[in-house]
Amino acid sequence: MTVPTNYFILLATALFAIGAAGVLLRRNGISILLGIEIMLNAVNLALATFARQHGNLDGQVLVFFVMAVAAAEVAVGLALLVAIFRRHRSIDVDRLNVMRW
Amino acid sequence: MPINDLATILPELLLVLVGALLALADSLAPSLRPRFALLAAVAVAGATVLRWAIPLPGRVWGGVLLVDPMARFVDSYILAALFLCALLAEPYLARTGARFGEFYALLLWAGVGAMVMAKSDNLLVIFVGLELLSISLYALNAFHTGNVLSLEAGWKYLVVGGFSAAVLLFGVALLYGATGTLSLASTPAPSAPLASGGSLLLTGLGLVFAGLAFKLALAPFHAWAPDVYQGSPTPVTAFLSVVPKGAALVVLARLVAALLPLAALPRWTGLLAAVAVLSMTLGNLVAIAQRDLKRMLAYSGIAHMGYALVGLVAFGQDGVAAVLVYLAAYTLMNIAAFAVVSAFSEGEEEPHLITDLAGQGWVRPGLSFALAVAMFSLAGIPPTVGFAAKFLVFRAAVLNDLVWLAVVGVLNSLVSVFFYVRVVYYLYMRPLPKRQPQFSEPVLVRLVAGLCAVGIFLLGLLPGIVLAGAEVAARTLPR
Repeated sequence: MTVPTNYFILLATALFAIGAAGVLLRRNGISILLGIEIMLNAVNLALATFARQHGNLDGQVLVFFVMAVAAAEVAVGLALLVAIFRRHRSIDVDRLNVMRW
Repeated sequence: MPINDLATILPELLLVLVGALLALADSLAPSLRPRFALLAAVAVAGATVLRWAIPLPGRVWGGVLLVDPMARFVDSYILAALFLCALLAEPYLARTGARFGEFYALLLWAGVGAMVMAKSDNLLVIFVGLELLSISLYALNAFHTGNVLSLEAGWKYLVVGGFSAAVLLFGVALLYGATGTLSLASTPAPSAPLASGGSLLLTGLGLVFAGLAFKLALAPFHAWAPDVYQGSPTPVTAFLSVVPKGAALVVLARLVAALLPLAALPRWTGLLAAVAVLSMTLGNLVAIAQRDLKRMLAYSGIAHMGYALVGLVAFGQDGVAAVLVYLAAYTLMNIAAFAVVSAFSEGEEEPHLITDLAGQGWVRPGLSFALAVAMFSLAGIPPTVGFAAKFLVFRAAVLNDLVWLAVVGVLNSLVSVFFYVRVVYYLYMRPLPKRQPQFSEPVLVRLVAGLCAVGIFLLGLLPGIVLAGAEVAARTLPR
């Protein structure tokens, strides 16, 4: 018995929403990066599901690229957090509010 | 096919290699540091020559890349922006003590990412190009690691960029689900029944549009722009304000052209038109309230992307050609403005106040004149290129029965004249204050500002030069 495609897509959407909520609501730098990772992995799940549904590999190939790119993005993000921590002694992003309109 | 696939991406390969060499040379031969800008600029010039020397075979690399007149047009202006920003960066980095090879390496790689985006016909390649551009820019934005504002700008751009990339990617996944392919060219014919109905396609398209709108700083997705513009090193701001936007607009044009027959046309156009109106209005109204020149230019950029989007709403050949001309014009005037801003040489954490320009018109005639020209061009006053570009965009809207959109655009231009001309007013009609802010006038900055000012007048008087190229480029889009 196979699980219908819809279930996977619903799960991916839910994960995406959880990740987005994490980015928007959390104030800790690392939690925000985690939120972005959850969003990207939700996309990976959706891509793998659709690849299986269509019976071609395009989606699965894209998953690998997403993983690699996500790793690069987090590497830059963590490096920035280190620089921010050196400056502010904290990675609470509410401290990063010097600029206002 | 007579031409080797590898030869079609020689310009990109050259820039990637030179970027890597510069990053290496920074640690192996630090005495070369003052020459890095020159090396980067020469590489960019070489890439431009290569791009024009190589024939345009069209679809290469198994149909993933489209090396067509459109790609060449966009590449040319990305390379021009790279060239000007590399020259602009040298005195700036020397002054702020951050003259490292990585800066130019990241700048060149970001340019390559934009060039890949502009010629890709596959959602995977678009994503990879976008991320190459974005990740390089995250690091560039935070290049002054000792500066609170630069760190803040880098972090904000990273979070917004990562978020928008994820949104775009979710849209890509849904588009893939609806069509079963990542290639734009092989999307099913309009008559073919879609497996899961049009809603999946429309949602996907909406999410991809939202992801690109973040990059374009269009109105509901613009909140990052002023902070990032203000905090980033000024040459990076100049780059950031033109290149990613151009690449994203071209991707949007290709996407719309490929998926238009599939999507329900009226709803899609309505969405684009609404975003364009919102961007123009919000950008112009909030720009009036700005006291910092960089923040004002950020809001002006939001408004300008709204104008450019009008051309995309109109679509058709004249619409796309108008957008391409708009991008070229926007590049010239924005880089001219930021070149002058980068000559402000007080601490980087100080705001770049418009009032600090008071009376400078008579003390520093060259730079002030370039800034005034850029402001008149941004406001769309003839005989500058800003006028020609706006005219073409609004003409395309009128020709495609979108008169109301053209009227909104013209009214917005009127509003914008106020805050652009205010800068010129401060330059020439205010007395010098007692405590004068410090300015530096390096030769390279004057050269870049001068080149841009000449370009603004030349293309303003003879818009046919760039329009002819843009029309050839627009013809390659399927419709």
